[in-house]
Amino acid sequence: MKYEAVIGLEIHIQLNSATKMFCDCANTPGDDPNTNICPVCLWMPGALPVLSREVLEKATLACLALSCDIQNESAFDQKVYYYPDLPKGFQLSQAHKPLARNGWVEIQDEEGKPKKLHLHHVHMEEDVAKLVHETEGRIPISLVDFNRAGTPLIEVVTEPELKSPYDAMEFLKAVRNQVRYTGCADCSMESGTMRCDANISIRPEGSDQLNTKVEVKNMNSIHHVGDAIAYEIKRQIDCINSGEIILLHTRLWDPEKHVTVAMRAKFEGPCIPDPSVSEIVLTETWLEEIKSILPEMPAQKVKRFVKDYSLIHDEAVLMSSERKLSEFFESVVKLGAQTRMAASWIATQLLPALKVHDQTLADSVVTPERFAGLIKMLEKNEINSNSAKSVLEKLFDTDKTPEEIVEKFGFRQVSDTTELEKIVDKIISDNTSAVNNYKNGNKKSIGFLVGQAMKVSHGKANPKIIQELIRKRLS
Amino acid sequence: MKSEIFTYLNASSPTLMDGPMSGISVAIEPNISVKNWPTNAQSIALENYVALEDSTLVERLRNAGATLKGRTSMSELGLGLNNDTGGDAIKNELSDVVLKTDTTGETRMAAAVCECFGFKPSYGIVSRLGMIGLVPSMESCGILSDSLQTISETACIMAGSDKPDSSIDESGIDRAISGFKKPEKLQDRHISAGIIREWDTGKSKEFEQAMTILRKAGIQIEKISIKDFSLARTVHNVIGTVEASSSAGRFDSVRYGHRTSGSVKNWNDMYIKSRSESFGPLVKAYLFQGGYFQYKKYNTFLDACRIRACLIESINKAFETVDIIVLPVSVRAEASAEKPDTVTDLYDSFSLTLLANLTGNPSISIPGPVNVNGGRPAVQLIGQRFDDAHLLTIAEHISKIFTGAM
Repeated sequence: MKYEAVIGLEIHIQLNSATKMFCDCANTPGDDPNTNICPVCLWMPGALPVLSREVLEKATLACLALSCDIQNESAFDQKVYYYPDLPKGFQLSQAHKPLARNGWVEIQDEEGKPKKLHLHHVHMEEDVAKLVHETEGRIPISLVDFNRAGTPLIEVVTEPELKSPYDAMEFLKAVRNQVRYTGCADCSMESGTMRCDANISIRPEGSDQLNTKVEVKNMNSIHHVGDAIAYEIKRQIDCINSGEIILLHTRLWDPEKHVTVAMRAKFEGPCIPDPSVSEIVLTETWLEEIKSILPEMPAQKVKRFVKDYSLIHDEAVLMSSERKLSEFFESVVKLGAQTRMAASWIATQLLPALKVHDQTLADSVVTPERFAGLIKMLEKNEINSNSAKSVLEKLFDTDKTPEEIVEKFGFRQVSDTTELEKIVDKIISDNTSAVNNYKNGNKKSIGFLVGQAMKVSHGKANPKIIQELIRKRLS
Repeated sequence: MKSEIFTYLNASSPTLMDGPMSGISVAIEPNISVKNWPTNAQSIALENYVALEDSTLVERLRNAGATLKGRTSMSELGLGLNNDTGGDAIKNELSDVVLKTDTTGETRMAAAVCECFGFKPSYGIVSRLGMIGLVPSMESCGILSDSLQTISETACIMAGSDKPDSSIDESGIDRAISGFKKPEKLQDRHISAGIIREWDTGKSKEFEQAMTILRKAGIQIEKISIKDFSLARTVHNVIGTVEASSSAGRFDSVRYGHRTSGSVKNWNDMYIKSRSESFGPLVKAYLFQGGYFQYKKYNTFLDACRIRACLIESINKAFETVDIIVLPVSVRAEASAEKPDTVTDLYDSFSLTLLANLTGNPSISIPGPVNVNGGRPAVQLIGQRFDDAHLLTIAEHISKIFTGAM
């Protein structure tokens, strides 16, 4: 029998608010252990939680970016279980009345066709502390770092409608891009600010039943998610084929061995409404305010870039793929650079150069002003593209403007005809065989002659004018 | 006597701050945080715990010039009245005021035992920050005193908004405070008191006599309906234990409190051993029931929440026609016998006081008319939520009727 997979994802995203969710402690879990703690996040006797307004705003923005229906009323529940990293004996989460329901993101399926994947809901919850296991002499000890306790998370829960590891990976990228765009979260699986658990079951192809699922955790990159799901689907099919029964349980992905390993029976603890955090009631005015600060999302941006800047679709997609990139592109264009030339130079020259210099658009010495200056000179034929590449390289080494660099290093393109004619004269007399070839009908050899002329001019000659002059002289 | 009533006496010199509470001594149960005072809530779970900060209500009293006297003894984590000495401190005139958490009616019952006044303010006007309780949605800081005037002054100082406490009701506070600030004159006013139709007054001869006295004094007594009144006890039991089970989750021995000194195999073992050494039998039974409703009977809990909402609706409706609701504090002959050992005992004792905890209404226990034994079985008055001052004014009036002063 042929089987198909049913996959649902639960994605935890750490919000980058200044403070934790229910207290004023800094939301910087990586600081020295137990430096960002207070009676609330340590849950000392008599402490009371108060939901941070900034966290609520950022969570709402993220939900809007995922096209969710924001709920006018939502509330916190207590997810009860005991673990040393959980100070309260319960986790404040939103099981019964989440902040947002529904929602979707669009991916391209394996044939390149657009496909919508739907969310069940998005809720807020607090993160737990971090356990550190060490030894004191020969005695194993466990330490708890509460810096992370109470930091804000949103959990994105999909409908069980993903079909393949490919779907899952594309979905994660789409969610990451959308949420990153809001500026509310970093969404890095590698550094743990985005974490993904996958629920996987299989069923006979074409069936609509939902069978017992297995939960897989511990994937630290989007690729691991794909690999773990692929492995798990195969494992479950093998199980069924050898007559075994799939049990509801949790497995861990082992990235070294490329297998999933059974961890424990899936635990569903009690979940009851929390009496201390007040219910969240959103007003229409507040929600409108949040909607107004939601930045333009990539899909709209692509349309606008095509319409306003005459980019072709793929260029627009590329320039919209990250918010910082799209902002850089627009700044450069607003400074007067030609749009498609700017897009293509950002994509093919600037981004690779940034990688080499270990800089990002946000912190790079190549500001939109300097980059636009470079493109404008290129556009006006003041420099040719070879020189432009050299100028770009120099932009990283000095704080001079591109115009100053061109002057100082003599990159200015030579377009003065009298000067160029001298070069052409020399090339024609030095390369008789190529000249004869051309005259005998081999038009391709003009390329060789132009190349020679560029060499003589040390790359500064305007290649278009050179070609024009040679053609005229040999006709 | 003194040393038995107080578990801790404030050694530092009395506060010199001048204010409305100057000269008034206040004893505080050990579950209400006072900076640098032992604050163990009378539980091994918090043995040797010393509060880091004042609770908001203590800070307000301190700033108003109150003399913070020391700690009285209480029942473990505020459930019931075992080992309670709050009332004794008033009876023996060792303190003007005792502050005591009221979760099922403890303040009012303690007052009944010691024949003083016991007041539970409206839920949501006094900050709970720094109060260590088990049932966040029902507990209020109650006030014991033999002077209604002092209770009124103390409540007025304690009430006020507090950002960290989300259960504070801002508009309710405004209403309550303006009530305290403008005391009303009752002379020309006609007072109506409601008796709950669903509760059989015949269960208490003394209560019937008290009502006769009130009627004769011109107070209109009428029947009002609190539908589902008979379920209130069960509703409190279900919701109270569920909340308590979660609230006690903090006592896990990881960050503070009692950790077992015995050897443990793993975390779970550490939890189980530490927690079984931490709690007494009543608290254990209470938490266990809560765990059961959380885990196995969640729908029962939801039903209880719905009935609670109906009870609030009924009581609000009743206050459209009456000023106060009257009930006995206890139906037992001897209020001093209220020392529960089991959860059933607890709810048997507090079956009439817990309604106000469920609905958040202010409620006060006042000594009733003298009976044949020379005792003064207490009468409980319940007021409209946030009309605390109005309730206290009526309590003053009724108290005078009972003592024959009017």
